[in-house]
Amino acid sequence: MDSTSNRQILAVEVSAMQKVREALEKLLLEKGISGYSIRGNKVVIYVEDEESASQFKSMAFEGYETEIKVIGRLQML
Amino acid sequence: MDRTKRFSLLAGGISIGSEEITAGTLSGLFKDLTDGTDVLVSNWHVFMGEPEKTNILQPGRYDGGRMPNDIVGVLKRSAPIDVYGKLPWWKRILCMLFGWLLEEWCMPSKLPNYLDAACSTFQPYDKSRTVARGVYIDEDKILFPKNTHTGDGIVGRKVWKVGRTTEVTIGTVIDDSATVKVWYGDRWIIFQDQIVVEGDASGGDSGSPTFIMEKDSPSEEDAFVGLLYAGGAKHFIVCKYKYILEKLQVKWG
Repeated sequence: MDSTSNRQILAVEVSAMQKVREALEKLLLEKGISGYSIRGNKVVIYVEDEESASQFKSMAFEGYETEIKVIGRLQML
Repeated sequence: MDRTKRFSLLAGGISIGSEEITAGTLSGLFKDLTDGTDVLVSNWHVFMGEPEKTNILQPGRYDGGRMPNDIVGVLKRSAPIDVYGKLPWWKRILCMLFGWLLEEWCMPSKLPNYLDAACSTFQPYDKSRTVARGVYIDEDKILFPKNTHTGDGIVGRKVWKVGRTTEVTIGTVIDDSATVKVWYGDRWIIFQDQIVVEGDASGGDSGSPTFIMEKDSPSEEDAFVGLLYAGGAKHFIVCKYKYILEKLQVKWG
C-alpha cells in the first residue's frame, strides 16, 4: 500500500472518530449519563444507575466496541 | 483521627474551606510557580470566593471554623473554570431548584474544563500556626511522597487518597482520559481528560490529594497524581497533576 492510500485510510479513521466523539458529546447532555471515554476501539459510557444502563445498553458506534458502566451520579464532594 | 479539628500544624488531608462554603479537604502545601511563595491548595469549590478578599478557614465553617481566629490565608487565584457570573440570577435559581432535571439548559458553556483547583496564601491570624509539606496519615504521622505523576497512562494502577471525611482509602484507576459531567448544586459542569477511580469518597473529601501507590500501603515512594473533586457510587474523579501545574501554576512539594 502506498503512502497516499495510508493517508486516505488515516483520514477516514480520523473522520469516523470525530463523528463518534460528536455523538458522545450530544449523549452526555442526556439525563442519566455521567460521562464517556474512548480507548482504542472501545467506547465506555458511564451512567448514573442500572435504569440508565438498561436505557442505553443498545448504543452502538460503528467500528467500536461499547461498554456501559454504572458509576453513579457525579457531584462535587 | 479527627481531621475536622483545629490543627496547629497544617498538612494535607484535613478540614479546610473558604468563609463562603461548608468544608472540604486541604490538598497540601504547594510552590507557586508565579512568585516562588508557598501556597495552600484545594478545589476551586472549596476555596470559592473572590481573590485577595475571601478568607480561608481551618477547620472549615461546618467543622467549627470561625473568623478571625481560624483564618489561615486568603484566596489567591483559581484555575479557569465556568464562573457563576455567566448564568443570570433567575436562571441560577431555576437551576438550583430543577437543574438535575434540566440537564442541557443548566450547562452554561461548551468550553472544556480540566481542573477544579485553587490556591491561597498562608497567612494565619494565629501566628503560632505552621504548615508542613505532605499529608496526615494519622494523628502523629505526616507522610511526604516527593514524586509526582502527570496522570496519563495509569489505568489499572492502585491509588490512595486522604480526605477530611473518609480519610485514607485505596482505589483502582479504571479510566485516565474520561469526559465527565458533574453536578455543582445549581449547574452541570463538563470536565475532560479526567481520572476515574473505583474507590470510596464522600462529602467533605473534595480536595483530597491522590497518590499512585507503589507498595501495599501508602509510602513516601508514592507519586502525587492529582486532586479528588467529585464522586458517585463507589467511584471518585481526580483532576490531573499536569493541569494543576499548567493551569493553576503550582508545584507539589
